Amino acid sequence: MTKYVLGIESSCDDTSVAVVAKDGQVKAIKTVSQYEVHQAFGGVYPELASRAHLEAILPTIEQVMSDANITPSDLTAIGVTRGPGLIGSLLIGLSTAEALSMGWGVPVYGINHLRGHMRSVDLEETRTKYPAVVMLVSGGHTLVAELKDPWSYRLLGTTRDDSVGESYDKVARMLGLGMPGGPAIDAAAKRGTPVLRLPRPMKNDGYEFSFSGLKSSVARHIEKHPEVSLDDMSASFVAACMDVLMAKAERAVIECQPKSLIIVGGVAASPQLRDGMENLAQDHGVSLCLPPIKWATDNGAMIGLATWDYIEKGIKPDLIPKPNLNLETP
Amino acid sequence: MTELTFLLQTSNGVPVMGLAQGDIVVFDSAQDETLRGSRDYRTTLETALDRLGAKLENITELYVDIGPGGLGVTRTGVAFANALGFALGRPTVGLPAFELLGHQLEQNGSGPVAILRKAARPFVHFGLFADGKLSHYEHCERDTAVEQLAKLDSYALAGNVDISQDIMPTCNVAAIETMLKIARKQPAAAPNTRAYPIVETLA
Ligand SMILES: [Zn+2]
Repeated sequence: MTKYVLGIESSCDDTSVAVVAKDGQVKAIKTVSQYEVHQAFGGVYPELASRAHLEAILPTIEQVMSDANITPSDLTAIGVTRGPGLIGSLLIGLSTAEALSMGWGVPVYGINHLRGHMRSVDLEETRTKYPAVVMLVSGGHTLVAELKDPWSYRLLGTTRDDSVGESYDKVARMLGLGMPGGPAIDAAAKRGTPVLRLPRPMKNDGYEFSFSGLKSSVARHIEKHPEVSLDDMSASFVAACMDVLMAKAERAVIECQPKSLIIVGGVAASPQLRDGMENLAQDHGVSLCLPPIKWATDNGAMIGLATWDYIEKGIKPDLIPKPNLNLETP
Repeated sequence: MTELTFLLQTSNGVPVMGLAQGDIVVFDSAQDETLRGSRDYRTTLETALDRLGAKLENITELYVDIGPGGLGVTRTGVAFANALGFALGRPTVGLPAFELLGHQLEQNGSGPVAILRKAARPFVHFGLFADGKLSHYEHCERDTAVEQLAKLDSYALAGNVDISQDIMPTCNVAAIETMLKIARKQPAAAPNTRAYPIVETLA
């Protein structure tokens, strides 16, 4: 009998639940987006997020268990995000998982959301060869790390201010391109030419990132150069972001000599990033691992797959929310 | 061990968990030094069941406080109670905090009960309870509530907002016996019933 993990993700603004086998096969998944709840605020409103999670979480779990055609006795464990994330949102997932664990008699593991992202690349099919370098680029996170195996991470660098996804959203708003910003800017950038000379913050320094200066620079250019088209503005911004991301990825590949280069997170959906990383990987003879776009954003399946690592290691963190959990802590 | 009723009150910020058999409270975490106020509902419940020699499956119905009050603690309590009810295939019924507080103070004396709880400043949750029911509720500025209270001859005060130096709230949580009494007045609920916190106005 195949056994499964029920993966629950509620760290930000998506309630996502999945049933995942040890080899990464996803038996069922359902994600309830809160996009409409937060749209009017131009960002995630934490108190509305936790309310929406509370409304969605049990119906989602019920649906996924039914879609997977399993009962609690088919579960080896429940895995639930314990951080990083919004505390109110994390608490809904954690309290729900704790009670289900008690009621069903199934063990529950608190899982690091970042480790979930790292594992998203191996959903449905094992793609990673170790050692690897991973770059996580999304609305919530921007970081680059070295992975010796699926368990041992070394953080190389993270952002000092905005994440790259956040700066995409903010610039999209400034340009009046609407939300979510990523796809809109990418589409506009494709039509445009990077005519503006925007800064490449911290491009030549180690592995840290900083995107807030770039965003301010775009704001100044909008004011100073009203003649520049939205498309060219977008192309210039995307080119600057890509330059920085590529430089950091290349530095890590040269330093760590990995077998694979993994790109995960919502921004991994960007065609410009995918193309750029493909060239980089080819130049350095590493295999590029990009998850299908559906696994790039927050989802319960990545939490489910990460849970299997915790089970194998026998590591069972507590269920106390950790809003600032770092990559190196399980 | 026969059927048990699970009771959880959280919105005052200091959770109280109870278990009852029929009309008798057989466990009250507020009476237990080691468990009092604990937000670790699993440990509290496991300890209680252990002491009673009962099993989780003995729980046939769940009642949980749905606020208004502390947002996070109320939602966490509801999430736990809902999921437990779901896992056991038992109903989880929501009970409004102001009904609980109103009944608590009404049974101690006569006259209406005013309930004020802090919300995001300068707002409060304001309720008036008389003749066994909540007759008024609003999310308003503290001064608006105080103005309305000034028109009343006398009242008992519950919650966590002082009106003046002379009028301090008597309590901010109902006894688990009071919660059980209110629970017993609820109509029978279907097994898939779940509780949802009162939708609070967010400033
Ligand atoms: Zn994420």
